Amino acid sequence: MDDSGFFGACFRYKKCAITLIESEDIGTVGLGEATLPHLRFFNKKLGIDERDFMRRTESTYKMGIEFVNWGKLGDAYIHPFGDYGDPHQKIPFHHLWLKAKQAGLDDRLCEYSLPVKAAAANKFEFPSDDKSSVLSTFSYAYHVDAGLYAKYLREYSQNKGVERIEGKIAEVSQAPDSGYITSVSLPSGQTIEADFFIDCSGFRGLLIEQTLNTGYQDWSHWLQCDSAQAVGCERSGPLLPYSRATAQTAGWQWRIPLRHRTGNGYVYASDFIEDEEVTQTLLQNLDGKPLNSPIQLRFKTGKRNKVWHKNCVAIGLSSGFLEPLESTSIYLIQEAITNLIALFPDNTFDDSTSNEFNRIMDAEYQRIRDFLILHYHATERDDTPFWNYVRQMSIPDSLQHKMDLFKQQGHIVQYKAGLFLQPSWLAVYAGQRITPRHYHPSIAGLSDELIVEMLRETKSNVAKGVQAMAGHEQPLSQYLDQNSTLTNRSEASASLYSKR
Amino acid sequence: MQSIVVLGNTPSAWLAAVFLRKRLNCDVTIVAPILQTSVSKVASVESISPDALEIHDVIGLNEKEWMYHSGGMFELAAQFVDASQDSASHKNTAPLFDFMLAHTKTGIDFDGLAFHHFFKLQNETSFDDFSLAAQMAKQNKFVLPVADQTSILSTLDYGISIDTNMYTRYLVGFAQHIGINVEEVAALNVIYDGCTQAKHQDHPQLDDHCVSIQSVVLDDGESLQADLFIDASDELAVFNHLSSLSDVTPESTNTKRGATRQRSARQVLTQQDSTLFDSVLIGATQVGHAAKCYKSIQTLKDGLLVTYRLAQQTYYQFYYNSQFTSERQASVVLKRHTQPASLENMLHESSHTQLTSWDEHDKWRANCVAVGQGIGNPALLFTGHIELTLRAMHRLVDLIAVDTKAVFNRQEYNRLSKEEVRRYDEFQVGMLKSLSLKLGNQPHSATATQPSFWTCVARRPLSQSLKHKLALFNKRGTLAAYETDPIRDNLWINLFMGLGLVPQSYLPLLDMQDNSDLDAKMQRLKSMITHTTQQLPDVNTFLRHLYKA
Repeated sequence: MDDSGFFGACFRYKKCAITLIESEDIGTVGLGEATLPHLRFFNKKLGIDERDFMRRTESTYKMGIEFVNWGKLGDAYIHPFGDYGDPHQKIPFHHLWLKAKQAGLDDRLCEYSLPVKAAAANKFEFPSDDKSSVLSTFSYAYHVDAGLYAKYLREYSQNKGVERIEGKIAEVSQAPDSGYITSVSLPSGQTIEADFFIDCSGFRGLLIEQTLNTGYQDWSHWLQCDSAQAVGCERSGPLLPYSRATAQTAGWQWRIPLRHRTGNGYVYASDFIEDEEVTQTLLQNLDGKPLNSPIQLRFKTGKRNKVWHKNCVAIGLSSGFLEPLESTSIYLIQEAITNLIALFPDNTFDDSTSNEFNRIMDAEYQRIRDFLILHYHATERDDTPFWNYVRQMSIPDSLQHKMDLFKQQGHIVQYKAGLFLQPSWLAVYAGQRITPRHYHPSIAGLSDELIVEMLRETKSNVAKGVQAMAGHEQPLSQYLDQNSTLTNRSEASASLYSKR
Repeated sequence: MQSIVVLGNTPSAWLAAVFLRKRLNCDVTIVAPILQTSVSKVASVESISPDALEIHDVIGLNEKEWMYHSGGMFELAAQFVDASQDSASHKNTAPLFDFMLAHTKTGIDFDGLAFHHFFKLQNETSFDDFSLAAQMAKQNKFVLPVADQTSILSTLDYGISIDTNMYTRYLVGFAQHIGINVEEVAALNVIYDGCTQAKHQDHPQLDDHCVSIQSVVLDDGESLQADLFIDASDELAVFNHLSSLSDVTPESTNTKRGATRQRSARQVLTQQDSTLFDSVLIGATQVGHAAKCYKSIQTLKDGLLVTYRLAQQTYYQFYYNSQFTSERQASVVLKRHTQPASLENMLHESSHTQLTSWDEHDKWRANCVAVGQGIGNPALLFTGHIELTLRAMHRLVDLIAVDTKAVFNRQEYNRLSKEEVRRYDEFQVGMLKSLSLKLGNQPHSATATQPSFWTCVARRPLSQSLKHKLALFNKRGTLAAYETDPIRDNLWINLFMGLGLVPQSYLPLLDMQDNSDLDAKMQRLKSMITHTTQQLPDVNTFLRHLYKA
């Protein structure tokens, strides 16, 4: 059972009996330690107090992810939870920057992002609720100990009346005519009947796959990584308000700062590197002493053909897997739960309802998939067979279209809904050296002097905002102190960015 | 981007010219056949939705001023009334429906769940009782939305209905004021890019992006070069000529439109790609006029009658299908349903106009973009050519490239354009289908061998996405939202609920919630709406004060 089981059980309504079956014998995967701002929104819906949650899960704040060595060896950029500058007469800010760059400006785009500069300076404070302030132009998430989070949610669920049964599923029964699941049985002989089943059994997909045979879309030809090794280490150095993903020989290594330890791991493509070499690299790049031997994991990137089939919904790893490069695992669980509530079935299990759920989740998965592939494909690295492969591989048409548009003239495809919107795509394009050939023609008439002045003012506002912020650790400690009276007035939002 | 030439003397042409001049700040020349025919002899009225008004704001026109000069009126809603049972035997029968389709959301969400679920749960009967905009429209009251989020008046939003002839005249003046060059001509010749002309001789099937327009030649022989050409003429002479050098011939699109006329009545409406309305009869009058802040859509036996009561005139549009209703019959219908009951009092020529379906081909080829009626003139009940041109130009500005032949930008523009048309069409088909279901088993002059118009609409097959949308709402009251849908979610919900197409079941989770105070909350909301509406001024009073200020 993973986090998704307890997440799912948390959303309980009074007259719906929810039974959670899990086994202590089955370990949790625990890779999802970095989160997205959406978690704050989700916690708020559950009525979870932020301070209590952070204390119990050893959390720290997260303002973004630093990507090291992705575009080129030696490169580094931060993908922030926030935007870059302000649009000029509805033309996105980055066009101004592009024009200035073509005229000789040396500044990187990140100079115009408060969360990037703040994170790099190890600063943090809660976003301001004053929408006119530059300090309102970002959001934040958490680094959490996933094991502690699962325990926290278990307690929450059980306090809400969720019944927990310890055990593994030994047998699944189906109705002979419809194929609907009618009950599950444990080795003890206990049988649990239900109208509706949520499969959080992990990669195996006990119900959705092993019973209902929905099939799997394999995306490993685009996202080559199929293995990971994870290890915790002692904390060392300052507590940073961002995660780090360092591109390695055949994958990437994560670093996630928690209050009690640092989480590390190496996600890799086993076709391109041996496990032993991975272990060596991983251990060589720790900040402090390892706290355990690396845990080995294997996975297959992709998703179930249907995540809702008949009377079973798969949530979490049982529905599919995308590597945690952009911390999307918990987000996908939460989105599945939110959509399930909106589309909660009655006993007729109408096709239109499950079709809609599958349509929405398909779109979520595919867009995130494209975004992750971009990180690999948008590289100049040719130093290893792995990077040569990903640089030259064919990519989904949907991603090719987006990249073509951006390379032509800096246009980023807009979506109304979904996780990674314009600022995120811009962060990766700019950070990984994808430079458009042209800027938007509507600013051609603006003089270089005017544009430079506009950029200078934005940069100055960002710098002043960062200067006014406190260091990360101090506000964190103050907020979590037992006697703290500090309040967080910033609004939790489902968006990755500020609410401006 | 240094220069743009806009071709045509239509409302779309003037709007495109003004919009591009303001947004791109480049040279814009409009090439118009004859200046005074920029306005039609036929009365023409359109609605601009709240979302399109936001785009319109970019032009920088003072709303009060352009609305005044366009004979415009605020539009809070569309009133749907059934008038199909108009035979003598049904004179005293209550209409099957009479509700306001407001632009804004109805009700408020409770516990994160959409209001209409609770409406079903509580067995309330009148959905628009919970819409401030609908109640205001019913009582013809109006006030502008306020910024204060604690006020119920902050939930308001409005569209504007305009006389497009008056609007165009206003734009013509404004265009000249902001430095748009105007060339009056009788005809156009087009010169293509020299190098590709040679290629064309050797390779008849040219790749689209090799072909481009170099210049257009005016009556006096003057040649007008530009980086980008916008063809907003009715004939699309330049755009079609450009297309003919590629894989699309103008003849093929005309054939597609013309084919509709050759089918039988049953075929006309029972095929997914056919046009439901192929004609519209338009008229306008000043007699017996009182302005209303909503348009009225009446279902008649053989079509729809849309009535706009604007500041200065009342406009009528009777949409029908010629396979069921002749022009003469349409005139009789219009005469019977309009006031005064005499077409002689119409100010303009009443005109039967043939409607055409959308041209499905790309609208941006090489360095030429087609907009306006030339690319299609279907029945547009919830949008109009003004709005579509606004959206097209907004999209174009977003995607316009320094290299105007940019393939990827063009592809994206064409993709989005097609999606937009598809979604508008879906809303309209969805609306007509829902109306036909509501009209149900009414005879409507149907016979065993000759089905009625509404019977054929009911039988029309739907696209997969529309089928899914209707099925999902019918089952659970959940709305399938599509990324490219320009129609707001609340319009769909307001339409279904207003027609009484209430879902079979409500959200099961509502059963599991503590709803003991739900009834009280809903009654409080209804009461707040009633009380607020009562305090507001009549829209005509509001307008008088607005224009005096």
